[in-house]
Amino acid sequence: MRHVARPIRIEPAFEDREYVRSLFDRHAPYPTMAAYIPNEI
Amino acid sequence: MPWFRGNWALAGEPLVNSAEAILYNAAFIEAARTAFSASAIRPKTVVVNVNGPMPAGAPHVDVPSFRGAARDHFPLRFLLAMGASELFARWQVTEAGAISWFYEGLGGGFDYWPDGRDGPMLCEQSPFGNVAIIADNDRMYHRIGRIGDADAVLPKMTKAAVVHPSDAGDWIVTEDGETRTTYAKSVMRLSILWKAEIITEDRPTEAENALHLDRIMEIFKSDLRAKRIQHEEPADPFTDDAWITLLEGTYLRSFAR
Repeated sequence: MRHVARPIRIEPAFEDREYVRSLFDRHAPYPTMAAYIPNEI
Repeated sequence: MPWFRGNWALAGEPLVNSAEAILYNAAFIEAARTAFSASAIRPKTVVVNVNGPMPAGAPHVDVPSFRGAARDHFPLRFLLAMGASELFARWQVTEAGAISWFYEGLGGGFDYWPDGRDGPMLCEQSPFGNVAIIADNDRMYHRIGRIGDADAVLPKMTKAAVVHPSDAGDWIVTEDGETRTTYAKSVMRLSILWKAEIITEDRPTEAENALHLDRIMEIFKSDLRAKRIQHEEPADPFTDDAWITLLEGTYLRSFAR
């Protein structure tokens, strides 16, 4: 089996989590995931 | 499916205000250095997902990239077959992926298989705190667990729909100026995905960087011959469905869960 780096849990992830959360509102709207997928086989 | 995405940073460049604060998140960079024994980290990507109630996603690995073969010129299915074959490991670009969530509703966990598809599944569950998981998501199987009620009704929408927050804090899905559905803030699962290229001491030589389609095909065909798998030369290896299907059937194992 190929070596795969072991996952690490990070806590805290952000210095200011509420600020990061506020960015979601600020940078809306969001297209669908399907809109990003190119047409291919 | 109510799955929406935003690109906040790509190819190392912030695309929206304040994205650089996430792109250069010290905790992510340090964790990547530790997890991957990296000599250097190159933050590349910040994308966000906004998901409404929906069924669980399929276990998967992310689409890999290789020196000389990446999604800007190669089809995604072709790249996934290259990764699954393990024939191109020394050209594969290793990327650390950190995922963090903003969600306290039902389900929506991050399921992952750190010991491979035959090993136990672990889950980071809602309600999520100020946490992230960093891993090699190009090689580690993972998925989004079911979000919300099992009988949640999916909105009628096409890929042209968009989602945005209202002044009241709800999330509204619209398409062609019409509201398709409105979600309460509490049922929307928000997440951030950060990716960085990992540089290690044993990086490939310049000669090994020269991966191109002819060489990829030579390697694939040699392996297929060794496996005694009959195949025909595809006219176009990127668009020949029989060829791609053969690669998938040979190298991609189904996830039996």
